Amino acid sequence: MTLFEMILVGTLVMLLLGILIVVLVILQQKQVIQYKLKLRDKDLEIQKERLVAVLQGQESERKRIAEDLHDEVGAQLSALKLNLNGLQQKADNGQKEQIRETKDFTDTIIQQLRFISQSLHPTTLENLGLSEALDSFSSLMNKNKQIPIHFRTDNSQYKVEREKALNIYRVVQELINNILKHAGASQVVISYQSTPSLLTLRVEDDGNGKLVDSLHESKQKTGHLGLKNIESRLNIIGGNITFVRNSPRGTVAEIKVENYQPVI
Amino acid sequence: MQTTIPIFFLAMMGVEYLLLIPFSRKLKLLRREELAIFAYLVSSIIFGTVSYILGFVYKQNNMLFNNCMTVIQFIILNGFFYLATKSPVTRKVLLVLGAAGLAIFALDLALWEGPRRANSIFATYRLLLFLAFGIVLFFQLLKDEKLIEQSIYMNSLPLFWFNAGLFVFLCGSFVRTLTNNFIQSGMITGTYDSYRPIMRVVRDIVDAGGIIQFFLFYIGLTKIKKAR
Repeated sequence: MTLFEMILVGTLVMLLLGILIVVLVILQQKQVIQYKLKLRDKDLEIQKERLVAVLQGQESERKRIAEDLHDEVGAQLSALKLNLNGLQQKADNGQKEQIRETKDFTDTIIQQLRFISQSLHPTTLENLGLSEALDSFSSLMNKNKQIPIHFRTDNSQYKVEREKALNIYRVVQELINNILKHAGASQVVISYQSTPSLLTLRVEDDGNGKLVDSLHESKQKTGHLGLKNIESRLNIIGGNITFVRNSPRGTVAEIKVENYQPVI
Repeated sequence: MQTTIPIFFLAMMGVEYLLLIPFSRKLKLLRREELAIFAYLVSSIIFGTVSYILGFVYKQNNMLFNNCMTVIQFIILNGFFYLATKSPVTRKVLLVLGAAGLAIFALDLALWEGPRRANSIFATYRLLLFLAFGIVLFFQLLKDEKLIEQSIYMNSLPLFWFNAGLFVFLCGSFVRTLTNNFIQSGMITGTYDSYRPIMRVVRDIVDAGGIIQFFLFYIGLTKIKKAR
């Protein structure tokens, strides 16, 4: 090979080398970024698993407390009521009135206890399903709170996976709590709709509409655990929530969960 | 002596002229290092056009003009790498090596090769310096934590494409620049006349590298709006 041929080959090789280096640099950086993204995904997955474990722990603890309240304290209160019945029969007229008041007070405590127990662990959810559990929750809330809560359903009979149902139930519970605390609403409507692949729940109130603003704030700041909790729970089950202003006033929270049915 | 029309050279010049249009339209969006690339483009156009007119049209020795333009481009590219490099140490090294380059140019022009010959020593020094700083710039982009954390691919940055364009062209012209003076001597004396076809191919490859360079500049230019 002559010197000139070597120059020719050298020039060609150098040009190709230059192009190759540029391509390699791009590929290398892409690989690094993809690796980092993979690590971040893994990290998110671990965080999600931890969150699920924490929530599961929370649920089993709630269940235990609810059962204890129902079985132990509830049974003792019922026994107390029976004793009071016995005493009422033996007591003279002046004391009878006092015992009757004590019995009424015991009834109120038993009712409160049932409400707390149901809130902690909704047995209807396990026995009858999400739609009935939400209906029962609305009825319980109506007995205990000032604001009427209406439950509407399309009467669809699609089953909801247990874990998803529990998380949706908790989200609705949290939303209602928020409305009662902050919205200043005079009524709430919960609408339940389901198709084979999509479950839609709307929680509408006629309050001050501050929930929309507080959602935007909570996304920017730390704090407002309730809304963060809602997002985390929905994130776990692959659902999402949107808040929009209700017309003429109030807020509409719409929860959507796809593929909510149990896998057979 | 029969001269053939340098098609690749003319194509390269055409691309350069065309590239002026989008560059001029985005002039206000350009950062300082990108303005240096614009200055390099303008200097390349002057370099190519005047050099062609002197050499091919008037058949004059255009070496003094070429050498002067090479040093002007050396200063411009030095400025580009200075502005694009983040490390203060690297910037200082660049300044020192830049000053050394000017000294080499002066010596090359006055003592070693003269004004009527290609200043291969200075041109090779310039080439090696910018190849090295091109690699430094690639490493800077590769190791940029901010880019990795925000998952920004470097091929979405104008700086990467400008550096890639320069790097490809410098790589392609390395061997010819290194041997320019030697070949020129042989051509003048007629010793290497039989190798003229090969040298034309070499010239075309270098000019093809130049075309690639300007295409890469154009890609970089298209990324400017997205990056801002």
